[in-house]
Amino acid sequence: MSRKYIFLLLLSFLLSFNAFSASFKGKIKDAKTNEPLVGATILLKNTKMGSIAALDGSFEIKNLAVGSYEVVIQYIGYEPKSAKIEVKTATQILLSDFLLNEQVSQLAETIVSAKANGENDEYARKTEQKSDNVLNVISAKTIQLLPDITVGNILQRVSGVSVVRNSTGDGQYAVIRGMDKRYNYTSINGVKIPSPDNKNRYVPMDIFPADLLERLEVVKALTPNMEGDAIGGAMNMVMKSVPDYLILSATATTGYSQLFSNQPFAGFRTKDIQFKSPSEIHGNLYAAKTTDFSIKNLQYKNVALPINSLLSLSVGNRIFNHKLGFLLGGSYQHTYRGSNSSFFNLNGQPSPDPLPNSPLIESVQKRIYSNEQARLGLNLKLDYAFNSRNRISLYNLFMQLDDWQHRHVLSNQLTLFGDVGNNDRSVFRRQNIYNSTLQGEHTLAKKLKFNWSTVYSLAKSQTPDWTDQSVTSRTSQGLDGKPIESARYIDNVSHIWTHNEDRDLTGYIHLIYSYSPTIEFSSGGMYRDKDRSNFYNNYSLATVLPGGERQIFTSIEQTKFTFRPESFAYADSTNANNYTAKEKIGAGYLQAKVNISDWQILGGVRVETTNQSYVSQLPVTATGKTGKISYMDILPSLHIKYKLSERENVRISYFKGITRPGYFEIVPATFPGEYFNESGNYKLKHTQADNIDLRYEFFPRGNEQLLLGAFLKNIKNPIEFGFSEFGNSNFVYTPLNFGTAKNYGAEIVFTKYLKNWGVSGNYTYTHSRITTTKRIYGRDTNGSIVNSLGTQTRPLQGQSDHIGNLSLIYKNSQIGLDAQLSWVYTGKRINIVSPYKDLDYWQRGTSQVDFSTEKKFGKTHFSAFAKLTNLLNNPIIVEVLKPNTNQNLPDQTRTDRILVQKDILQQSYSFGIRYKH
Amino acid sequence: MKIKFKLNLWATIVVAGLASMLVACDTSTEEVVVSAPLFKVGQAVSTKTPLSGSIKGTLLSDSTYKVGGDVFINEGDTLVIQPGAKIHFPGDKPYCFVVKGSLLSLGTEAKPVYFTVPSVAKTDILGADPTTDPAYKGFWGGIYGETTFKNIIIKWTHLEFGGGKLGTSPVSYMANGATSYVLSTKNPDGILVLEDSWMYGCIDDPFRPFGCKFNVMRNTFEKGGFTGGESMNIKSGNVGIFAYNLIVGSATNGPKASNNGGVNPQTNVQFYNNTIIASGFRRSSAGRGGSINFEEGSRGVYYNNLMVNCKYGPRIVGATANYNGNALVVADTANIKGGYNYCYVDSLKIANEIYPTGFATKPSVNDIPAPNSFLPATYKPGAVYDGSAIVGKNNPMFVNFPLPQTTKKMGDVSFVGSFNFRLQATSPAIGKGYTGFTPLNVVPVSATFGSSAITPPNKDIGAYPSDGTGNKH
Repeated sequence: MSRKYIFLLLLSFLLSFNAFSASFKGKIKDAKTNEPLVGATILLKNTKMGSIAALDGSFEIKNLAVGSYEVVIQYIGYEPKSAKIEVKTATQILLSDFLLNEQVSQLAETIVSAKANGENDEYARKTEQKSDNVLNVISAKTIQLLPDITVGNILQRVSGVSVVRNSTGDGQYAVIRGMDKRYNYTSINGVKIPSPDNKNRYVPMDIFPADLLERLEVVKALTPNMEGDAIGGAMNMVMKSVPDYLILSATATTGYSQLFSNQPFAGFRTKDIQFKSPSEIHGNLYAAKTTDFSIKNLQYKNVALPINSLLSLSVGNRIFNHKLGFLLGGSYQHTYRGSNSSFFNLNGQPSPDPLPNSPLIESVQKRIYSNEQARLGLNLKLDYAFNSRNRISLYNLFMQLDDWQHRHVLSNQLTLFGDVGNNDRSVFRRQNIYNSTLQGEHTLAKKLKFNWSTVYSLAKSQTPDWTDQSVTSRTSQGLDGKPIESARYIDNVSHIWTHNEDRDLTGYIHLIYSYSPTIEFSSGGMYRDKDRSNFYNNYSLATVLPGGERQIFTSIEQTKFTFRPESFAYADSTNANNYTAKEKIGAGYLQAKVNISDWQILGGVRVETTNQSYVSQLPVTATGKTGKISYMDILPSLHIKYKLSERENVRISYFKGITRPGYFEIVPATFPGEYFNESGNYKLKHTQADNIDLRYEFFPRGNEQLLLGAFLKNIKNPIEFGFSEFGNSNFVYTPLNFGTAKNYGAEIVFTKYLKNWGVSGNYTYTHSRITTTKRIYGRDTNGSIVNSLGTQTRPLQGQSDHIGNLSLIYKNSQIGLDAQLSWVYTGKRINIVSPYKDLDYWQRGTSQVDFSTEKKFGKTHFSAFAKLTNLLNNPIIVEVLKPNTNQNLPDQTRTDRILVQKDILQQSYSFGIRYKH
Repeated sequence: MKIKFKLNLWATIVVAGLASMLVACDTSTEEVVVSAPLFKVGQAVSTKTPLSGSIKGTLLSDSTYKVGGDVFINEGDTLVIQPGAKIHFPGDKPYCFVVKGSLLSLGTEAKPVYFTVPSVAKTDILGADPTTDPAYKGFWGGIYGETTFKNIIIKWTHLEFGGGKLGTSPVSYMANGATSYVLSTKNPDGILVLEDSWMYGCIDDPFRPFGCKFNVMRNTFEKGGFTGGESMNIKSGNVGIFAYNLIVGSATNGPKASNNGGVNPQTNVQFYNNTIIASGFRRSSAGRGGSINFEEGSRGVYYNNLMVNCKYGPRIVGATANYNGNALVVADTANIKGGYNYCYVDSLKIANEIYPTGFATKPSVNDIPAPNSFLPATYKPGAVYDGSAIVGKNNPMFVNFPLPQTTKKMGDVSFVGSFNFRLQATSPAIGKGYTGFTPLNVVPVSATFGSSAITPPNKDIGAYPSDGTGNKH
């Protein structure tokens, strides 16, 4: 149905191009740069006829009657022009190009472009062209037309970036040039933000609503004035900035997911939920009572066709004699998401037969996710210009993502005889990021500028009363061979409380000295103080009945709970997940930028010192209850840009980047597992990488581009999990450094417009290899089963050899219609690295196709839009690349690989109205 | 229990006091026989301060020691516990003995050692409610052989009321807050001897080794596991013998062998001459076995075991043609041998499971009851069969345990009490055993740093063979 709809829509576009009468055609361009002036108006005086310049600057006025006309051409910021034309015959085609001159207004160049065009594609291309280093930019204009509502999903549109999805199929983390999430960082307006993750540094990108952004930058080569801990790249979200005049825009969107037109959405309420665990309320010595635990979050309610609602608003102006500027942006998204997943659970230890490391399918599950999400983003920018030399600004950001996830698991779908369990899990998670930045920009002397920022950030995640409940029955075989199902018994119910926070105080200073118009020196530094804490509490409520009998399940309301043994009523406050971490980072840099004729050379060095510490729950008798790790890095970089022409650059750059281990990775807390114990590793070294970039850039017209690039990374001490022996035949699965990994690749980005049609795309080839130790479970020459270690060389986790995007764009400013059909391809990659040799989980190459369109209503401020995502409903398939002898099972269609997961997400549709003043 | 003066094989460990009772011969030269000193290492540990922290030396005979914290025996250190010493846990803290060196608990038949909680009394009543039984509460932690441990030698020792919920775990391989085992190890080269001892109660498995060479003989296991738990749950890296043990009322299995855990060498065990009574009935999730179990890559033998009213007979997890949905992984079936096992059952339900349905246990012609007396000629391992012919048949004739079982439920029996599982002279289990295999000699034989002897399999079935070489309790 949906595919047909697109086809019709496309057809209707095509039909709008037909004319057999006199017409007037041409292009409107900047007189100086020859760039097309997209959106310039051309009017025939004293008529109602006219046109708006298309993406390539072209215009066309059709159906002209014979006669003479006066033409008026206008464009904001340019001096208007007029001309006379004469139509002599009814089939004549008049051709004429117009060159407009910029109005002479002596505002600083950068500010003008930032203020006027910060959100459009032309500005994005300009940023890419003019930047000192290698980056890719996606503008708000592009974002507006994309079907993506979160930054997590937008990222997959950026060249060289693929995303790691969450359980509902939304992009959550970025893999940049094959470098997994740990190798990248996230900043807002250039200020790095902390993560609500309980163990790691990387920030879940699905927290951020897309509509607050002015643009999204992915920086792939670091300059000395940037924080140095990125090897893949840095994702910088530039939030909507303060305008020079009143702006007001708002959108209201509604929609639904196709998934819930086929099955009900089964959600739960958290009205009675306690944000604090019983032990937090009453103390660790408190013996919890069964009445302290709510069953509300296990009472699922079906909603037939849940409707999403999304609202956004932004308002900004400059008041008090243009001294005080403000911008307030708000976004609220209430959505229902979900997925259906077939899950083939592999046993934690493979079989030694017939060959070593033969995977064993342990159970087949169907997992049904119902996620209700409420995403709130608030963004307030204030700036005050004391005079032309001094300006301060205050930036505040508040993000909140509430996620109510109900996971229903039907286990052992194919059980003939044995236990069959159904599990329901309710997880309510609230994640917050708060950031407040006070910044000043001062011109101290004619050639000396001073900028400073003080930053307070707080990232929090709370998962109060995560509840797990399962019901088990047993199917046995009767004497007649037929299955007999036992009663259904309720198992113990667990309640887990976790919360963690990261408080981050950072100060930045930058001094910029313009020695001459072509030579600029800068220097500065930063200092960060981080304080993290993690709380974990788990209670298990027994369902065993007096007499030791199992309890037959009727309903959760009827279930009787006890604490058996009684000691289980006490919180496990010593759980190893409770830990605190601190980090102090100091940095200083020196940077010089020299422009000599067509060359720009930017180089310098950055020094970063790291002091990381932790306090764990280990006993005082163990090694490493507390730990402090400190080191210093010297990070040189050099960025050379050669201007081949006004529209072409060649860049070559080198930078050294680092990645610090996660906060919990260095904590030697042990998590015993059935097949191996996992532990942190305080001997873990941070990763250092030498990165070389080469890029050719061609910007034929304002919004067009062609980028050809190549990169090479030499990664020293990459961090991967592996086995470390700590005693006689005792191994622990722990983060380790594995020598040196290599990663290289090439990318191409292009955008080309022809009249109202555009095509844009990118493709990245990446090749990385790392060699790690892995376990082999096989037999020795005597036939005894033996564990041994071997090495495996493979791509880095998350690295796809091929990723790409292709979009077909239609923009017609005349009728106010924009449309885009986008295709994203993520090539096969390792999703999960197995501890066992050659048993990694590979995600099959996947395609996603989305369509979006927006139509302006005449000359009003209103437009309507529609966004249709995941039109092909391609499943996400994860496989182990080993021979498969399970063809009798569903979805196991291949003999050369074993399917372990298949997620079906289905289409989602949204429709909305935008107001823009 | 009566002391038997059988000094043949056992002479080396006879308590020194007995020697002085021998009357000197009436000759002109004095023949002097005096007792040897009790084995002692290092300094005597004072009874005045509670045991806590690093300790080495000797806990003296007949002394009572209070535990006031986790006790550590460091690498290279040895702690000896002399006969009759009592180690008392306070009961409100899950204290552990963490062995990085050697622990020798050298009780004797006359003077056993106790690891117990004086404030808690046993409540052994048939059919009592397990949810209120203190045996399943866990009042202290356990004895843990760390990855460096050399010897854990436990003889004639009562290990009672342990296996509680840990706080901050003093053990490298146990999580904080985990449910403790009473005895556990994690060094495949460490020597573990558990002889003539008693393990009573636990929330989970009383004994779970993650690596050791072991000889576990002539012990009594009662009330192991609350709603799940094996008497001895053997993971990878373990090699040894589990024989002549009496198991009453284990939550799941008596001994269970698996090769999970990722430690070398492959789990290789010999389960022989054990008597297992009424086990498998407190397992909260169904169908995990109820007597003897081999799963996930484990190998070994099982012979001469006597099982009375257990929920399942010996269960070997094997490759099944059809995926059966059970999260149990194939044992190393090619390297498992068994037979001469004896099952007595009082109900049809368990009679239908002495060769558990869906599993790979192969009937042996020497099993009792004889497979051909009730299995169809076409029987294949794992198939459903009708066991009605064997209900109440082949009474093993214990000295004192009424069969058919008179309790309301099979699982109501969980302790020994006044029962006596020795065989009457007319028992059909006598003379039916198999002695044609060699025991795994993996631990040294020594009065102190080893096993008193590696007793080979017996011609009689069960833990109490008629020649008296079996269980002494």
